[in-house]
Amino acid sequence: LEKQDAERLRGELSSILEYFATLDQVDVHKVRPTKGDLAGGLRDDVVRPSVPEVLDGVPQKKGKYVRAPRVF
Amino acid sequence: LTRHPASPHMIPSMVQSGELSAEEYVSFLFERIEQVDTKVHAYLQTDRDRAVAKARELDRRAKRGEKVGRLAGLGIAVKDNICVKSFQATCGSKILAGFNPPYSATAVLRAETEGAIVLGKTNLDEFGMGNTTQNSGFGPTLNPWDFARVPGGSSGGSAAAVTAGMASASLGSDTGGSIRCPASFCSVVGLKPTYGRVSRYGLIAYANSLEQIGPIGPDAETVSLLFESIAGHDPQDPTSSDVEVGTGHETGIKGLRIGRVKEFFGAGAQPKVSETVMDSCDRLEASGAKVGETSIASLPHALPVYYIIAMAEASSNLSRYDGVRYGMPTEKGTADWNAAFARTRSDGFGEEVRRRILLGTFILTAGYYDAYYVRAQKVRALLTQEFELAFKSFDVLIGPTMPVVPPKLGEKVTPLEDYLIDVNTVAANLTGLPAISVPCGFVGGLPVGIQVIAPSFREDVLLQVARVMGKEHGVKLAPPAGAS
Repeated sequence: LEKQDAERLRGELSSILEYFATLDQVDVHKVRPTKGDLAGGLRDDVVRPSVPEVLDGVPQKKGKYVRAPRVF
Repeated sequence: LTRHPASPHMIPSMVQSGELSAEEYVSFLFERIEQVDTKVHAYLQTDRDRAVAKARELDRRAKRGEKVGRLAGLGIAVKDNICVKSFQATCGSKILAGFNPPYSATAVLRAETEGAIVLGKTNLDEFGMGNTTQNSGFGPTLNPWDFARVPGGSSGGSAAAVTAGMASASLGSDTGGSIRCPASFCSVVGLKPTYGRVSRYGLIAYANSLEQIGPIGPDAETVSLLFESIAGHDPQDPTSSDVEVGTGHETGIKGLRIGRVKEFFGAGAQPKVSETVMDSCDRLEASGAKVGETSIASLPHALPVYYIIAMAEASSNLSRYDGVRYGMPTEKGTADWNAAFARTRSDGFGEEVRRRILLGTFILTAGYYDAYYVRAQKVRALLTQEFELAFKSFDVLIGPTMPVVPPKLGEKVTPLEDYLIDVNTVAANLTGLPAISVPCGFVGGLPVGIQVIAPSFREDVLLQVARVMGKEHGVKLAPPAGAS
């Protein structure tokens, strides 16, 4: 983030968070939160041949390796 | 061909019988795109050669007397966050420019198996985040009814393409109203199916627990045809359901109990928009439905709940865009991982996407997780219970899709003001319920849509209501004068 972006975002994000805080008015002490369920069930974990094209979109490669910026 | 030969849902049988050549029809759609899309900018890419080749193949098969499928010859436009092999998938974001997906989405494969032909990929708010299609990294789409106004979003390109006659129908995705909002603003029919009804495999994720792929078309019959072709369980999407898809028999709406939800007409609604929707309710009553008033008390809280959940899920989903594995490359020779990563993401993501990632990340931090995310999931459960209760007295619930007419392009609003117009659409995503937007009239020449919500997996009832409105209520449909 650039410095002037950070200044502007501070205001914008605060007003959005204030709006989110209106949920404090709702009485939820008896409610259990929504949880996702997997309607169709999980498929078996079977190894399938991978699609060779998945690596075509890699911006920088060296041989069959993906080239990434240095971590250390 | 010099004009649309028939409603798109009639086209497949005409292609099958040889009355219409798919090649001629598809070429006609591309002529429209050439004439109109320089003004509208609905498409990010098109591929005429690929489409014409597929159309010729259909014509050959029809000539041999082979079955060509229930969508044969229909030219469809696909939102650019849904993968189609051989087209780029950019999500309207610079960070994915040039990305070629190695496979097609299940919904696209199913439509193609039935003979639909993909014409191109349509514009959207970046990653689906917006309701105007102005947040695209590749420039805005304009509303074909009034070029000074937005087409809605985020599936703005998909809705504009249909209303301007540049596609028979289209696929969009809906996370908080992204099919219904542009359908309303462009005067077309847009269906958000029940969560799990259509496979999300190949839909680039924004907020997994909320979004669905769905059809947009000029009328209920076309939307119905496309919906039935793409719906159903898919082993590639474990949240997809195997509940059988009800087919849309002509049952009419006599005796249908319609609940007009008080909160949908609440603060922020333009009075003329509310009046237009009320008039439409009267017409539904005249067509045999029983209309009554009802209330969903937690609805005013749906919007903050939606944004908390959507932003939390987005911050997690969008962390994969690092510029290393696909999309925009990190600068060569940049010092270290963190600097390169930050550079790519600040150059690649637009303003609204960055805002949502920041908020979503904050919401999920340990100290705030319970206060925002868990509380939001609780209010979401409360909302679901209230809808279930309302469906004990009513078959469908109804209100304006959007509380306003399409805003002017470039209108200065704060992010929060912009979020507020999603007030009526987000509840269907939070509860997983199916919802449709149907054209119901105009205010000052600008389209107004009515939203109908049904119990889970009852898209057939929604389409029934839409069919009656299209046939009996005579609202003018595509294409508008501005784009002809």
